[in-house]
Amino acid sequence: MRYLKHLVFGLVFFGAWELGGRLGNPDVLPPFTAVVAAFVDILFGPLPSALLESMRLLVIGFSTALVLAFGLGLLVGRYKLMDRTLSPYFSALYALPTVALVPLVLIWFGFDLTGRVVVVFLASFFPILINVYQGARDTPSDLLEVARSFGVKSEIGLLRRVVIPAAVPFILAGVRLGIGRGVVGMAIAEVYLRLSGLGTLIATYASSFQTDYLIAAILPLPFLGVVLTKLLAYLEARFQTWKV
Amino acid sequence: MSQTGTPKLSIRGVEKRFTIRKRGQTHEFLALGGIDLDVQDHEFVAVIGPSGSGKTTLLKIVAGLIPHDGGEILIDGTPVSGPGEDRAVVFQTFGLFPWKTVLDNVRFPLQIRGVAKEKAEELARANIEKVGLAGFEEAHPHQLSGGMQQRVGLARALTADPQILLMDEPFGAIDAQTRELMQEELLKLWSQTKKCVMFITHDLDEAVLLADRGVVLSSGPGRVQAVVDVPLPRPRWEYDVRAEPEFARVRHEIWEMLREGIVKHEADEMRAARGAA
Repeated sequence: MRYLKHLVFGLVFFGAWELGGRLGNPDVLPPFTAVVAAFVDILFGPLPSALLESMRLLVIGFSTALVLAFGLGLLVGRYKLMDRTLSPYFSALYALPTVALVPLVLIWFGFDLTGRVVVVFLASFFPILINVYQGARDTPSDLLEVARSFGVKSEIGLLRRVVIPAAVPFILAGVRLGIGRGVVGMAIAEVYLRLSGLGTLIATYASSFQTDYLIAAILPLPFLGVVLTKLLAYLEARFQTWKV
Repeated sequence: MSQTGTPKLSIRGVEKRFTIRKRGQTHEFLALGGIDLDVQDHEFVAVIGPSGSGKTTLLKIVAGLIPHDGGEILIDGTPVSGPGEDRAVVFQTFGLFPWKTVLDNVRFPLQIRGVAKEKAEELARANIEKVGLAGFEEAHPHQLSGGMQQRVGLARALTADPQILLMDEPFGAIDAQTRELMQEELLKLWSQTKKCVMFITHDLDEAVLLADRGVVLSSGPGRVQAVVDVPLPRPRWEYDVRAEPEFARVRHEIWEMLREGIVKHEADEMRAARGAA
């Protein structure tokens, strides 16, 4: 029963797609089965190495963003002077779409791996930063007092014992947003900076109007989204054993 | 063992000023205006005052959590600044770490001191049992009622094994029936350890029920207005303390003091408001 609704929806959706493809122009909408065939074809062809290259970009860009945003977020959240000085810029930069920065990144960092990593970094950095910053800033002051009263003296001790554990829900929310944005940044970097990874596949099939292969090459992106979301859900269950 | 004549805790002329910034102007006000109070070892002192009398501020100063502007805090005759292992606080809002289990919350003070894990757990378990929470070691605070959470707070303070127990309106956020039960259990616990206790409350009955002496604070600025002895015999859980004529007499005495302070403070406030208008 649990899977019935998915089964019904799947049949209707993919059935309509198949039917539309067969009745219309396959260059505009290839039938679902043609896309599946194309996907199987590239799965045993260029897809694995392309996916690996894209993943490498995502992992480097995202982990750099995570480390730096975590550090800066804690600092700005904990120190009033830094908060007053820097936090107004955060929301402004958070609202800035990464695509708008692509030409600038190209001029400053080139289109090699560095430039592409910077695009992924910029996409992931601000959502993580803003969440870590909020978490650190909103540390319950009574818990800081508790820790101090029982002998926690250093700022590092307070961070380790109170600020970071209390911010875990915020940090995880930031990571979730950051990964989603990172995948978008990855796709942008690989299509608009220099073709690489999945971007190469997507651009090649698009320019030759192989629409079935084009859609098959796009498919790994939502798959990636689902896999990463599942991974995060696991991490949340692992690290967030408590509720407020 | 404390020497004769040297109080366990001595508060000498402690002052506290707060600065408030409002529309570019800074106002300074005196929250505590020279508090003097001695607490002997094995003595239970209740500090009673209306809201705004700075009683919680006073406790936090004694705990070393906030600095004071004048006077000094002495323990066994030695001045102290900052928190120390000789004092432990039971907080009004319980102050439990929501991400830690009951056991980990209770062993926290020992963890900070670097006590070996097995030893710390053993002591923590003993205190969890003492406050009646055996079986809840692995629960998280949000799974417990307010009364149970404060038992955890109490067990944690006991695990720190302080010479002075500082309790900041510990039962203020707990429903009335549970509060009475907790008061009785605190009396029993205290009779076993007889630690020096400074207990902050705004509840007259609670002060008379628990304490050897009640210290009445006045507000604006907080000052010691009176110290009232509570000569009710212990153990107090073995008879109905509240039905004793002596209970009513002491309660009345403290209330008169408290009332005088509140009425005077209200009059001052009204005069100030009229002056400002």
